[in-house]
Amino acid sequence: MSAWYDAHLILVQATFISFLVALSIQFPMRMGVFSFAGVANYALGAYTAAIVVVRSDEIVSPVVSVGAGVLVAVVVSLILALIVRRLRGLYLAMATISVSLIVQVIAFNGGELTGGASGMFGVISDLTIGSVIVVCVVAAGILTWTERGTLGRRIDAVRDDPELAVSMGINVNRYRLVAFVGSGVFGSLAGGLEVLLRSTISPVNVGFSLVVTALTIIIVGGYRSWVGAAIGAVIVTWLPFYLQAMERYQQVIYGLFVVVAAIFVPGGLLGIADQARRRLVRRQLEHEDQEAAAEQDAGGAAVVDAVGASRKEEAR
Amino acid sequence: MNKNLLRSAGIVGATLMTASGLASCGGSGGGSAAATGDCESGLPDTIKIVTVKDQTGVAAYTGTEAWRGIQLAADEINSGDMLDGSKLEVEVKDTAGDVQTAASHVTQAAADSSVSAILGPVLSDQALAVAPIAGKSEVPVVYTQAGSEGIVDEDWNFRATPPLVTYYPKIGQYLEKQGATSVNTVFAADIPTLEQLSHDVLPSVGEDSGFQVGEQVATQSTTQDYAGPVNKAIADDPDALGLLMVGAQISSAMQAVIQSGYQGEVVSYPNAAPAVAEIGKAAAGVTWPTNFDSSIDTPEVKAFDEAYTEAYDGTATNYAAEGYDSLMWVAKAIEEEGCATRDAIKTGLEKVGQAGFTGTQGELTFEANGHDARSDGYVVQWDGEKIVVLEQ
Amino acid sequence: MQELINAVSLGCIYMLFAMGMSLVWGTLDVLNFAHGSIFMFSAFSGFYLMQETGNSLPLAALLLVGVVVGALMSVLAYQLVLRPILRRAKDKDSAERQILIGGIGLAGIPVAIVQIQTLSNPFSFRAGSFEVASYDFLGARISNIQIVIWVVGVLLGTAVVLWLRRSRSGLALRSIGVDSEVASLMGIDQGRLGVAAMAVAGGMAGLSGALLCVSFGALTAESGDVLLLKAFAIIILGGVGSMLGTIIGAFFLAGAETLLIANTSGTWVDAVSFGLLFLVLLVRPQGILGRQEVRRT
Repeated sequence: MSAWYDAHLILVQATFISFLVALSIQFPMRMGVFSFAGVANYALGAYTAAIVVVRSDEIVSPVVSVGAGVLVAVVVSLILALIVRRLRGLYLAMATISVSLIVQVIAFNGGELTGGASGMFGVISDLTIGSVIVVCVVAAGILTWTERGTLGRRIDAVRDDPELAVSMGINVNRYRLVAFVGSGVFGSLAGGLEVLLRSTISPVNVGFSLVVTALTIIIVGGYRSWVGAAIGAVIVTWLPFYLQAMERYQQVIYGLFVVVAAIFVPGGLLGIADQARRRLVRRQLEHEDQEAAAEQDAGGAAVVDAVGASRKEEAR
Repeated sequence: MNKNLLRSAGIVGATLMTASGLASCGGSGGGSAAATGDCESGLPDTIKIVTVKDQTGVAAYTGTEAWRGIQLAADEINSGDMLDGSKLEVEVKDTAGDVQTAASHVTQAAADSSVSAILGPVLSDQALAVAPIAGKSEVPVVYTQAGSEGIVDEDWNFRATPPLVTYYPKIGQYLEKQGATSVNTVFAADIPTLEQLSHDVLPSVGEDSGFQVGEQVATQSTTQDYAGPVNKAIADDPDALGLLMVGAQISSAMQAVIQSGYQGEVVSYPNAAPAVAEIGKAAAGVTWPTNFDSSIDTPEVKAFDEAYTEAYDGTATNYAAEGYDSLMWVAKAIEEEGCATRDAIKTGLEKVGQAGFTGTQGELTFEANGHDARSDGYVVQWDGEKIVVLEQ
Repeated sequence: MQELINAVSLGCIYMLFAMGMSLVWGTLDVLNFAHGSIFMFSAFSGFYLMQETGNSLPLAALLLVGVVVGALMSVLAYQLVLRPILRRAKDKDSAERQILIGGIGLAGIPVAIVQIQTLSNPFSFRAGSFEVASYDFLGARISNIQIVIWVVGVLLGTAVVLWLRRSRSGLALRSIGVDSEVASLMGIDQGRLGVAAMAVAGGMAGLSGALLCVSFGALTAESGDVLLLKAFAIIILGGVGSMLGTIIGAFFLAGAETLLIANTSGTWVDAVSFGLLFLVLLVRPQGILGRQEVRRT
C-alpha cells in the first residue's frame, strides 16, 4: 500500500486538487450561475500563496499563505459579482473566461512580483496531503448541508426558476453573490494548496486548459451535486492513466469518451445513478397513489394528490 | 514552451505511457534493489535508467529525438561493454506535454528502488516541477534542454544541455564580422529563455561586439500573424534582426520578413533549423549559434551522425545529441565510482562534471559544482540548401 | 499605410474564421468548440494529401480540399454529436452546457491525430506550386496571398450576408434563430437547413485554414485554439446572430491588435481581445449590432 501510495502520490494529490477546482465551477452552476471565474480565483490563490511564501523571510504556515489567497480571491469575487450582475448564461460564461485570461496576462506581465513568464519556483512549505484531504472533506460536508432540506430546495428554485424563486420571497441576488464567493473560496483553495504541494506556479498553469478541465470534470461527473464533481475528478485524473495501453492514441480515445458522455449522459454519471434511484421511488409512489385513490376521502385525496404530484415532480 | 490553449481537454489528469509496459506498480518492482544498496558487490547485472520525456503532445519532437539519442548511447555502452559486463536498461515514459504527468512519472521512478537514475524532461516547466521531487527523494535526474533558471539549483539535479543563453554570445563574433551596429528583435515574451536572450544576452553581447539592441518587439506564443511585429521591428532598418520564437512561429516570422523585403542580417537560435529547411532558398543567410550540428567536423559528431543515420535515417539533431551526451555522462559517472547506487551516481556525475568531457556537443565543461553543462558553441548558417558551420 | 494593410488582412482572416461560427451560433444555437479543430484539420488534409501523393498542388486545389474537408467535418460533427445533444437537452441552459462540452471533446480528436502525425511540428504548403511574392504598393508592401485573402474575404463576406438577407433559405435560417418552434410550425425543415448552415460554416473554416497556412507560412496542431478564443470575442463584440456585427467585430479586433503592437511593447496584446469582450458585455451585452435576447432572468 505504502509503496503504491508513494508511486502514485502525484495522482492522489491531483485528484483532490481537481475536485476543488471543479467545485469552484460546480458550486455557482448549481445556483444557475454559469461562471468560470473559478479559474481566475485559482490563479489568485496560487499566486498570492506563492508570493507570501517566497517573499517572507520566515517560514509561513500554510494556513496563512493559503488564507491570504482565499481572502484576495473572495474580495475580487465580490467585486466581480457586482460588475457582472446583469449577465446570464453563455454571456456570463464568456465574461468570466475573459477575466480568467486577463488574470493570466497580468501574471505574465507582473514583473518581479509574479516572476513574469518563468513564474515562481521554490515555494516550499510543510503542507501535507492530509491537510488537503481535510479541506476537501470539510468542503464536502458544508456542501452536503447546502444540498439538503429547505436550503437545498431554495437553491434548486434559484437555478431552475428564478422568477418563481423571487415570488417566493427568495433573494436571488444574494444567492448569486454567494455563488461567486463560494467559487472564490474553492478556486483559491485549490490554487493555494496546489502551489504549496508542487512548489512552482507559472502563467501556463492558469490558462484556458484549466477551464476545460474543470468543465469536463463537472459534465462527466454531474453538476447537480458535489458528489458529481468528486466522481468526475477521479475519472478525469485516473482515466488517462489507465488509457496507457492505447499509447499514442490515448488523446483520441479521451476525446471520444468526452463526446459520448456529452451526448448520452447529460446529467453526468451522477445523473445515471440518480435516475436509477428515482425510477425505483416512482414505482413505489405509483403504488401508493393507487392505495390513496382507494380511500375515497375527498379532502384527504386532494392532499395526497398534491403530495404525490410534488413527489413525482421531484422524482422526474 | 507554450501549453496550447485547449489542450484538447485531454491532458487534464495525468497521462501515462511506457515503452516497456512497466508502470502501474512501480514500488515493489521485482529484482534487486540495486539503486539503493551498497557498493561492495560491485556493479549489478543490469542498471535501470528511466527516461521521462515528451513522446506525444506539444513537445513530442524534442522528446522523441532525445530518446533516440539515449537509445543510441545505451546501445553503444552495452555493445562496447563500457561498464564491465553490466548492462544499462533504459525505458521511456511519456509526459505528454503535461507538468503533472512529468512529476507523476518521476515520483513513480523515484519510488522504484531498482531505478538508479532518471533522465529528466525537456520542457522547463516540467523540469521545475520535477527538481524538488528529485531533491526530496534523493534520486539523480539529468535533464536535456530545460534551460530555465532554478532547475539545477536543487541538489540531485543535473543538466546535460548547455543553456542557450550561455553559448548564445557566440553570435557576437559573427555580427561583428558583418559590421552590424544596430540589432532589433522580435521575440516570444512568454518563453523565459527567449525573453532573456532578447532583453539581457543580446544587449550585453552587443557591448563587446559593437552593436546596440534597439527595438525589441514582444509577441506571445499565441501570436500567429507576424506581419505587424516584423514591420515594427524593421521600421528603422536595423543591420540585423533577431527572430526568437518557437514552432510554427519561426516559419511565420521568417515569411513575414521575406515578404517585407528586409535585406539585413537575420539571426535566430537552434529551433530555426526545421523552419529554414522548409522555406529553402528564400531563407538563405539566416544564422544562429548552436551547441550541435551534424555537419560539425569532430570524430564524436561523425560517429554519432553515422550511428543515427543508420538507425533512423536523416541527419542527427541537436536534441538527439544532447540525449546521447546525457546518458554518456551517467555511464561515465557509474564507471568513475564503480557503483550504480543513486548516491554513487550523484557523486560520479559531479566528479565527471567537474573534470569535463568531450561529447557530441563538443568539449563540455560544467558549472554549479559539476551540475550544469557549458560549451563554447558554434555559429551555423543556412545557405539556402544546407546548414554550414561558420565559427567552430 | 503598412499597418493598415496588415490590419485589413488580419481582419479578413478573423472574419473568415468567425463568420462560420457566428452563423451556426446565431441560427442553430450551436456554439461549436470544434470550429478551430476543423479549421486546422482542413489545412492539414491539404498538406497530408501532398505529402502522401508526392504531388505539388496549386493554391486553388488546396483551397478546394480545405473547403470540402471542412464542410464534411462540420456536417458530421452536427449530425453525429451536436444535433443529438440538442435533441436530448431539456432546456436551453443544459443544451448550452452539453454543446460546449461535446464540442470540447470533439475538438480534441483532430488535434490529437495531427499531433501524432506531425509530432507537433509545424506543417506548411511549401511543397505546393504556389510562390508567395510581395509587391510595393503606395509605399508599403503587399503580398499576393494577402490580395487573395482580401478578395476571398470581400466576396464571401458579401455572399453570406446577402444569402441570409435576401434568399428564402437565408430567411428561413434566420427564423430558426429567432424562434425555432414557430419556424417549424411554419413548415421550415430545420434538419436540412441546419446541415446546410453547418456545411457553409465548416467550408469557411476549411477555406480560412488553407489560406492561413499559406499566409502564416505554417500551422501547428494547436493553431485553431488561439483563433477560437478570438472568434468568441469577435462574435460577442458584434452581437450574436448578426453577420454584419461579426464582420465589424473582426476588423475592430484586428485594428486594435495591430495598433497595440505598433505602439506598445506587445505583451498586452492578448489582454485586448478579452478586455474588449468583457467591456462590451458589461456595457452592451447584446453586442454592437446584436438583437436583444429574450430570456427569463
